[in-house]
Amino acid sequence: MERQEIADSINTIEQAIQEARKVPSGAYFYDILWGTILAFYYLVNYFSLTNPDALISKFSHYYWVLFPIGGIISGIRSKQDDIKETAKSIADKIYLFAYSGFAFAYITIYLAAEFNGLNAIVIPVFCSLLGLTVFVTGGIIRESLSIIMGLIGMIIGAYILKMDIAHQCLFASLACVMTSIIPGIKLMFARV
Amino acid sequence: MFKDLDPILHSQLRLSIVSLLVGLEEAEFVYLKEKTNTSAGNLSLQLDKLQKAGYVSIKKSFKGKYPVTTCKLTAKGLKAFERYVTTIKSYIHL
Repeated sequence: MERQEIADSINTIEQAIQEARKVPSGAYFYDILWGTILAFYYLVNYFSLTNPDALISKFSHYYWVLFPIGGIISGIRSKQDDIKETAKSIADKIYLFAYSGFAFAYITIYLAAEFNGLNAIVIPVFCSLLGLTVFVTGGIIRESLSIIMGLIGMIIGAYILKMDIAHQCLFASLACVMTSIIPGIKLMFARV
Repeated sequence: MFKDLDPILHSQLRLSIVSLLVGLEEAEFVYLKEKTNTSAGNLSLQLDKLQKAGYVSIKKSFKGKYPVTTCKLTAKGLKAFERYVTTIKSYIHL
């Protein structure tokens, strides 16, 4: 085995792996989009519970419409990405599984809490699950800001456990900004 | 004595294709052609060899009106790559 051949093989592997890492992940878009929707939704809920006469509170029953709109925007974006991309990064698959798991866990907990009259635990669990998801995905893609923000999300979840629903909503809004919007913006600028 | 290197992977182009696919979920033919800087014919030939060895799975589909060939590393391909890297490492430690 020639020494040169070994060096060439190592070079080839290193270059190819570096090249594959340059394939951008589109996950930042969903982080920012859903972070904004959820932060706004919880903030509106906070206002409607603490100040029902405020103008923003008067429409609080209609803000649920943001979720299907977010779903449609996400679907359109996903289709556009599929057309443009010639390679799919592993990070996108990690995000897909992590956030699908988060959504499934949150929905099951939400339904169980509603059924058992434990509404006060829903928002803390939401913050903890979101923090955990951001922490894990951040660890896998080696984004220290996501890891830190994920930890903060989990701490917020524990901190608000005994608060009233209105203040839980306020902190949930803050958790969405910290765990989704801020890491999303960082990822957007970190793209190749 | 060192273990022999996998002859399927011990070609710069095939090694390059597999190394690219290790870091990706999947890649289209045009992406591999651009990154490996090779001709379509040669790439097609090497992908065929990798597919026959069971290292790469190839899916043909359509993106709108255009045909698309998508390549993905198989579990067998990943194991072969890991073995190859281990063997290379043993050479370095000589």
